[in-house]
Amino acid sequence: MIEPASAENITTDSLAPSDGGQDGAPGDSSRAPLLELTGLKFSYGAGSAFQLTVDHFAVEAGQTVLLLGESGTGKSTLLNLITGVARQQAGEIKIVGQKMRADKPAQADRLRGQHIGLIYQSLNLLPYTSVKQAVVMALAFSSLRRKRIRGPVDQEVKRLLNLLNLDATALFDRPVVALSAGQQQRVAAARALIGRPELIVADEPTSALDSKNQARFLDLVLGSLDRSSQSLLMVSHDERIAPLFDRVVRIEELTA
Amino acid sequence: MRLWALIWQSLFSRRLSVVLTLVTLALSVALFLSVTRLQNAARNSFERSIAGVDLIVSARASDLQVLLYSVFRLGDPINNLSWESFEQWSADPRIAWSVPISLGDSHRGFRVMGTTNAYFDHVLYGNNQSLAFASGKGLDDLFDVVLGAGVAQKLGYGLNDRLVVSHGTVSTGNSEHDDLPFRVSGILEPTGTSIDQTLLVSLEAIEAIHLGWQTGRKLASGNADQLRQAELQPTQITAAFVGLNNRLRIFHVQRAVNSYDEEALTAVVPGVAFARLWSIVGVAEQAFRAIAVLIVVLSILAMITMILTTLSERRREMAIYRSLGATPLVIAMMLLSEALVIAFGGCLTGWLFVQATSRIGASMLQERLGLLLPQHWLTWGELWVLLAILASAGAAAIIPAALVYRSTLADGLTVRS
Repeated sequence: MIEPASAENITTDSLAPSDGGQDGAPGDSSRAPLLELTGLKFSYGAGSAFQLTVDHFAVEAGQTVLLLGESGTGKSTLLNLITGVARQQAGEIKIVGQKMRADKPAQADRLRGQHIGLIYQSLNLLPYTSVKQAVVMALAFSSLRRKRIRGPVDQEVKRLLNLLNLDATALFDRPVVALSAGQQQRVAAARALIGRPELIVADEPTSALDSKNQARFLDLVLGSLDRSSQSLLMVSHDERIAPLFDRVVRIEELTA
Repeated sequence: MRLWALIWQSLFSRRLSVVLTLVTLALSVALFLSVTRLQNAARNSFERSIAGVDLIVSARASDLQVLLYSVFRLGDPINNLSWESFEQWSADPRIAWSVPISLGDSHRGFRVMGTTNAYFDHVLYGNNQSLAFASGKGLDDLFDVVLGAGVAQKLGYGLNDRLVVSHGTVSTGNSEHDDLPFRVSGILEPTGTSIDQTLLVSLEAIEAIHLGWQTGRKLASGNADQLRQAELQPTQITAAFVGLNNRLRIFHVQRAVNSYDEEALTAVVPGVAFARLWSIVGVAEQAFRAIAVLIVVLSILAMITMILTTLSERRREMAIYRSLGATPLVIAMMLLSEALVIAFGGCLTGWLFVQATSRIGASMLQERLGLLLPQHWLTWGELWVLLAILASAGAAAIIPAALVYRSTLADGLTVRS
C-alpha cells in the first residue's frame, strides 16, 4: 500500500504544458495527472528552520491518496501550497493542467473554487445556515460547478446527502447547528462534492469525530466520489485508515 | 445559489443589529427629507402670499414689520396710517389702484381685516391668481363678512350664517358683541396663504365695532340700525396695498412716499422685503439643514461601526467563502453590497415614512399654519440627496471592505476560533 515518492522519472516529460480549456474533461485527466507538484521549495522566511521540499508528487484522476504524517511535518503547509494559499519559493503546482499561482491570489482562488472541494477538521459550516444553504454555498463562487449540475440543484443536494447517509427530506431545511458533529462533517463533505470538482482535499476531517463515526465518515465519502473523474487527497496522522485508500504516501518520504 | 443570496443569509443572521441600523438611517433620512420639504413649503407659501402688489404703504416702520403684519397678519402695527394721507396718495397720478386694510380684531382666534371690495379685484396670490369665491360674493352691507376657506372649514360656517366679532386679537369669549352680528356674505376658495385664515369685513364695519367700545366697555347704544345710519368714515387704516401705472417707477414712487412731508410713511416693495426676510430666515434654514446632514452622517458612521464590530466574528465566514473560491475582492465587494443594501433599505424606509406622514400631516399643517405641503413623490433634488447618501454609505463601507480584503488574505482558508 505504501508507495515511495519516486514517480518523477515516469511522469514529468509526458505533461502537456497547455493551460486552460481542459475543465473537467475526463479524457484529458487520464492523460496527465490531475495534480502535479514539481521541484517545490517552501520556507516561512530566511530565519525559519522549517523547510519543505517536494521533488515530485502527482495524483492521478480518480485516485484516492492518503498523505500520512505526524503534526509539524508540513502536512498543512503542503495543503496550503496545493490550494494556492501559501506561496512557494520555487517549483510548480498544476491542477487539471493549470498552474496554481499563490502570487496571483484571485487566479488561485478561482482555480480552487472550480476544481477543489475542501473539507477541514472542523468549523466547516456557518452556524446560521440551513443544511441546504450550507451545501449550495459552494456553487455561489464557481460557475463551472454550477454548470455541471444537470437538473434541479435541490435534487442534486438531496442525492448527495442521501449518498452520505443523511436523511435529506428531514434535514434539508434544518439549521446545521442542530446536527451532530458527525452529521455536520458529512454536510461539509456534500458541499465539497457538489458540482463534481476534480480534487477533494480533506485535512484530518475525522479528527473531531469518535472512532466509530470516523470509519463511517470515510466509507461514506469514499463511496460518494465519482471515481471516474474525482480524486481524493486526504491528510491524516492515523495509519489505521490506510487500507481504505488506493495509495498511501508518507510525508517524510515525499519531502526527503 | 448566487452571491446575493449569501449576502442576504448573512444579513438575516444578524437581523437585529441590521434592522436597528436600518431604522437609524431611515429616521435620519426622514428627518432630512422633512426638513427640506417643510422649508420649501414655508418658502413657497410665504412667497405665494401676495402678488400683483407693487408697494405696501404704512406708517413708518421697518420693511419686515410691514411685510409681516400687512401680508401675514403677524404681530400688530405700531402706528396707523391716516385716512387723509391714504386719500392723498390714492389720487397720485402714478398710482393705478390702492386697497386699504385695517387690522386689529379677531373672531375665535382668526384675524379680522377691514378692507374694501377692491381687495378681491387687485390683490393676487400665488402665480398672479386672483381670489375667487367658493360661494356668495363680496361686501355689500355694513355687517357683511367674507370668510377665508380655512376659517369657514374650521369653524363650520356656511353662507348667511351669523357671527360675532370681538375687539382685540385674543378670543376671550366674554367681551363679544352679541348685539352686532355679522352675516357671512361670501366664502373664498382655498389659496394656501394667510387669507385662508382671515375674516374680511368693510372698513366701516371695523369703525362700527370700535364705536361702541371707545371707552373700553360696552355701551348701550350699539344698535345695528343706528350704526348703519352713523358716520363711519375711518380716520386711520393699518396699511394700503398699491398698484402703479408704470412698474418701472416703483423705486421712484417708493422714495417719494418715504419722504412725504405730512406724515412719516414707509413704502415697502414686497419682493425686496421678502429677500430681506429670507436672508434672515436663511441662516436658521441652513442651520437646520446642517443638523439634518450631520445626523445622516452619524447614522452612516453607525452603520460602518456595526459592520466593523462584527468583522472579527465573521472571519470564519470569510475563510469559508475563500475556501470555496471567493477572491478577496469578491468578499470585499460582498461587504460593500451589504452596506449598500442597508443604506438603500434605510433611504427607502425613510422616504416611505415621510411620504406616509406628509399625507397625514398635510391637512394639520394647512389648518394650523396655512402651510401647503407639496404632495409629490420624489423631486429630482431629493433623488440626488438619496443617491448622495447611498454613495457616501458605499464610500464609507470601503473601510471595512479593505480591512476584510487584507484579513482574508492573511487568514487564508482556516480560522482557528
